Amino acid sequence: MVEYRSSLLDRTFGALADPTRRRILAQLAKGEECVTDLARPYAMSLAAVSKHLIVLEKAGLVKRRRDGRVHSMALEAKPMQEARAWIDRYRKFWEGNLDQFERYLDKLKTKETRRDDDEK
Amino acid sequence: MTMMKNEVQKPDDATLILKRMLNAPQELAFKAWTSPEHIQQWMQPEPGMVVPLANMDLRVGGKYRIQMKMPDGEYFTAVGVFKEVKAPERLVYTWDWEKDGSGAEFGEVEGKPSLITVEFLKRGERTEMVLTHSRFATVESRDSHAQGWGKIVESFATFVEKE
Repeated sequence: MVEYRSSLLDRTFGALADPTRRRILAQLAKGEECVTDLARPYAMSLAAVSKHLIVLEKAGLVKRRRDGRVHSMALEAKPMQEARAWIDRYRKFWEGNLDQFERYLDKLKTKETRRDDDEK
Repeated sequence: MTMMKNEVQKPDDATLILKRMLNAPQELAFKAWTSPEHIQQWMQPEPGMVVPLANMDLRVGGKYRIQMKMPDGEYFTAVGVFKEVKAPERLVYTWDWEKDGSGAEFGEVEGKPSLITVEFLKRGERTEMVLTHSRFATVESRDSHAQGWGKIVESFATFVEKE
């Protein structure tokens, strides 16, 4: 749980914190698309969409492929896997802990009820 | 064999949420969660792990340190600051790891804190516990990120697994 790559994670989560970028990613989840096609559904300039794409690129969430003047974007799965791994690691950590916590509480409760006799 | 009593929620905001019904009163659950002598008894994420040291300065701005030691001698030491303390129902604190963690005093941290919220909700004689562990170190940044991008995580997860 200690060795996750936090700066990459920060970029991943940061990049995902924007609705337009999430829509772009959702669109790319269906398959590779060229930048102009990606920009079409949004009421914004190609330049604005490009900015979002650069953020996604820096976070490693998308990959750019150049074919002459046509730039195509495709999804990169690895950062998302790492974000998920972070959650999974802590799930394991806390599940183990909560099992122990619950068992301990049972013991504690039995002790206290014995001491206070009956409280009900 | 123990039954899994956690209800694990699909994170809908980049957070891990665990819920569990505890067969103990709220006050007792809160006390057991926050007192060093109790923590040393139950904190054991993995079999064989022990807690040689636990310090809790349970007040807003107060620090805590929980030193966990693996059977092979490796230390995992969690440290953080309490952001909210509302006994016996709610606790918010940061969670970071020390780089080394083997010392008796606070050591150098990794510097990437996450945020934990623990709620103990009274359910008659029992207590519902909700533990939320979030990637983001402050309530504000967590909430600003809470706009449901977890759905994206899920659809990506599916995508990733297909790969």
